[in-house]
Amino acid sequence: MPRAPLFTALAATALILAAASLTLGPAPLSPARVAAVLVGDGDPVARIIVLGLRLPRAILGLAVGAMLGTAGAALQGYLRNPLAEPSVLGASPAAALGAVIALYFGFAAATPLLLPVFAIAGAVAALVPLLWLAGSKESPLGLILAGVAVSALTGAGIALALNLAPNPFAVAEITTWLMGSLEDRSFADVAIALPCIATGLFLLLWDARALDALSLGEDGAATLGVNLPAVRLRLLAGVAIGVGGAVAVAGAIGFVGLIVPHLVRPLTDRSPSAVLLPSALGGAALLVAADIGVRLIATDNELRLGVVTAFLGVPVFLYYLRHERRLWS
Amino acid sequence: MVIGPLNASGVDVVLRATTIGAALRATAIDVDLAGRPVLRGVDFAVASGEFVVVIGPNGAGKSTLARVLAGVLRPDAGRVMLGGDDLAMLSPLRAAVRCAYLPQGATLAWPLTVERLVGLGRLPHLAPFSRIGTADRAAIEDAMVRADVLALRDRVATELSGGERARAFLARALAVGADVLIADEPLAALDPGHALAVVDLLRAEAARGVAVVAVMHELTLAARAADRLVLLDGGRVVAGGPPAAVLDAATLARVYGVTAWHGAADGEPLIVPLRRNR
Repeated sequence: MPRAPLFTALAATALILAAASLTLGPAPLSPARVAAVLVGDGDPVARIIVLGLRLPRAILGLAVGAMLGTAGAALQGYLRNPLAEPSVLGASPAAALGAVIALYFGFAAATPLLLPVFAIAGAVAALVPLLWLAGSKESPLGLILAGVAVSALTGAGIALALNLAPNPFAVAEITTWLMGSLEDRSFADVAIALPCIATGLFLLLWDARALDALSLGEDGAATLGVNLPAVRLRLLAGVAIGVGGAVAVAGAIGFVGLIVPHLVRPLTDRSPSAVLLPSALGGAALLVAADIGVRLIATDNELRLGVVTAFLGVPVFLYYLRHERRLWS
Repeated sequence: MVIGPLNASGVDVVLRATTIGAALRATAIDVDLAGRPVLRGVDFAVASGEFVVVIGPNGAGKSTLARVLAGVLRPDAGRVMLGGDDLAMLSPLRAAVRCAYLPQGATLAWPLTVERLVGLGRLPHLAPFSRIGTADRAAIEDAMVRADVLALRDRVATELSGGERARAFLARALAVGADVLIADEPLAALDPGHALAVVDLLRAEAARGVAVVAVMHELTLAARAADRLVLLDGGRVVAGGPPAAVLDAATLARVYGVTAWHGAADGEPLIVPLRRNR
């Protein structure tokens, strides 16, 4: 599929879903009432619902989905491994752990800005041992093995936080951070997340061509003029800052980073650079769709986003694998 | 830089590489890997239009030398000059447009089409955030024609047969349009027909004025195709020069530990290893 129509189709899908998400929820609003609010009029009730609740939620859904999709695509390209995603390197769970620490030791209550700082610090803290463990060798397998080790350590840290949690409500809250949610997010959260996500996207999209060159392996890429240490630093920084910012407001939402690149790849020429932007748009669309699902499926407690992205994404993913598996044999 | 037509008599070519400026020259290269000496005091030069084949037993340091020449591996001692420039001083991008490298056992991580694979060779030429231009398209087309993969352009490169795949990867290296081409075992796992096709391709590149360096194991093919052989053993250059001079019975016995039958066909040497020496 040519680039321009693919970008347009995916962007349109994401925007239509985001627009639909403004009208959907416990109190359905007609498109006309939502449109009136968006152009600056509208009745007070609609204004509160749209501007206070649904618009920040939709914006965050788009931004977080775009970040996770891009991070997955960039990591798969860099590691040349179709299994890669932010949580494989421990970035998402470590960011969630950072956010949990900020919440439970009261840092976030004192200074709201500390929440994303802790989440990013968590992601960075997960990625630094990766740089160290993987050493000077530019081996993707070394990075993945180190990432698995870091993930295990992060899991232990989260289990510890659950153990030490002061009460059952705290445990429930931590679980939220681990499965992800966009419930009750405001423009303050948007202000926290967007700069981080924009920085992360910029850093990850920067090295699109280096990722293409890496399809030939490290030596092949180096002789095509790629500065491998600089690429690795930008990539890990982009993942840490972007995913850290996303997790700081939405929790660790799984599967998006893994699934979306695989879903859009057959629509491209399959080169890592061609998958990046479609993964951003597809991730935005998938996360907003999942967030609509969360609101439409009536349950006592609102469903967690990570649960719905898994239920939505995994069947499509498995269907895709059936058709594409010859390429991975 | 093209210095006259290809001269098949090796002696002249040796003189050309050593007296006139070499396209690529390595001097007194030492490399240690994991604390083990791999190359010791290796001197190497290749001139524009020359086809030099590096031979030697397994573990002799051939691939390490190829990686040093390509600038992938920084030697512990010694210097590599690409034309008039020190390779260590050149930016990766400047070096990339001047020296193309085909790694051993070239692999491709994603199922790209052959045309897309060949297009990767143009990456060092692209300005940041610019799209591929008409000159790049022409270079890709030209590389596919030279490597005879034009008919395969829409096939997925990872699904090709060994012979087709070798040509497709070579086309990727050709698309760089560099004046130095380094190929590490481009004949690995190829049947005789495809191996000859790749050798012809490398010779044709040398005839166009490219300085071609290839690592090979097939002694007869190397002897017939190369202007000059460089024989490595135990990390040192033990012989270098015209194929007939390098591949004599004494050298084969000493380096490979084999007795070989030496003959000639079409006026070119023919070497068939017969048995291991005890």
